[in-house]
Amino acid sequence: MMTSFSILNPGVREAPSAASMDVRQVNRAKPNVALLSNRKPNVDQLFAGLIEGLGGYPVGAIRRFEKEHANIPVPEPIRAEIIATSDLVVSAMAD
Amino acid sequence: MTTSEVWTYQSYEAMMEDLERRGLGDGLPVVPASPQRVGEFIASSGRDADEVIGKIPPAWAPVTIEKIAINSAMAGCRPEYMPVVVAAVEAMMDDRFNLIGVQATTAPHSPMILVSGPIADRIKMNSRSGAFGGGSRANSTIGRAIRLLMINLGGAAPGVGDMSTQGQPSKFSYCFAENEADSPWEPYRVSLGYSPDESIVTVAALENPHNIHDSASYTAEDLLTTVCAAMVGGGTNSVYLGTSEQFLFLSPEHAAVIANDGFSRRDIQEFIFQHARLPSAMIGKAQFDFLRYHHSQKPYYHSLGLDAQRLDRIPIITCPEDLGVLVVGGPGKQSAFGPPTGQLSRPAWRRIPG
Repeated sequence: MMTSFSILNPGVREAPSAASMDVRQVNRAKPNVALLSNRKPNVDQLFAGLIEGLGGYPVGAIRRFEKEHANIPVPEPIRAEIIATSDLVVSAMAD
Repeated sequence: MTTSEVWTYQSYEAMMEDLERRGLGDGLPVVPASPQRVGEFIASSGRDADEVIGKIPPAWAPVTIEKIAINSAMAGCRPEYMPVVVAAVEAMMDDRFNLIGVQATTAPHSPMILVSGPIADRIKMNSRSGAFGGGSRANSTIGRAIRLLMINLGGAAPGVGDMSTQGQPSKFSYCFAENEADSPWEPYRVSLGYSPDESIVTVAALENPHNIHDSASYTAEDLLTTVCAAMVGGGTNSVYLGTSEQFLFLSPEHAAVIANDGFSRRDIQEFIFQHARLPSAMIGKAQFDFLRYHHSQKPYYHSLGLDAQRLDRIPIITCPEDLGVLVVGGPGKQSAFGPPTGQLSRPAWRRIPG
């Protein structure tokens, strides 16, 4: 007869990234949009398509930002500028 | 005293079903990490259970000694492997390693865990025949423990937190030791400035080992020319994203051929740096245009005296020192290199205490 046995949780109770994510209310009629380039080859085409597509929607300023490299996190100064100036950010994969 | 949640099951199968439902584990059966067993692992680390080593992206869960102990026990480690696993986790926390990039990239790379030093023999790591593959409990389970931590704490389930397009088999485990007994050169760690008496772990995000077979060459230059031919490759990340450190794992027989011609480790590094260059004729036009733009932005390309516009010979390393050279394996004329991530991730090193 098998007796019960116990193990310890190898993970965490909940995903910290979701638990700690800040939420900001956007009340602007025309939200400002940030396009964050990862500098991959197809990013220009992707953004051109996005800008064209956004033309049919009530958006405010569309500003483009550049990461230095595809595989590093966005530098803090750029992150802060995006947060300060934009209501919506599109982080391009552009693979 | 452990603080993690305790889960109780009536059968092994029920535990496996529950772990699968929760998205925990790597798909293989695991060893039940009982509180008592985990306590033995924590004791073996010599550190406090609640000590936080860092946070593992992309979920950014804190990794404590206790969580390392649980995942090491699950992986099938022995408690005495704990110092190696902890040191490897610490190395992965180095900004150089860019763990968020390694976890979330569409590329297949997985952390290589290389142990150099006396601890490798003490815990019976395999550095000889079949070192990259299975058969050694230490190799298999230390590498697996690292992967379980990346999945269970980092949230790197395939297609969720780990966006690797195809993945690779070494995402199960990628851990081995340097075969310094059969090396004609000083141990790898000594070449980095560590003491021969110390043990270190190297972590580097690499593709699976790529074989280099040459049973014909009996001079250093002939053999290293074969090595160069294997190491250059269009489509590799070091070409696509820019050069970074590479690793060349020479078999003892290949190392002997090279050393018999008087080549030092430095000579090998210099030879590979000078000759492992990708001809532009091997690159398609669209990729060529992108790479020409990409490389022209890189200061090293100009400093190497190369013409970025012609992109005639793309280097795979920026300088000779960026090639790690060490001996791994047993008898046979088979060596290997580990294609890197390019500039996505750089190797990191940590001392292993004890």
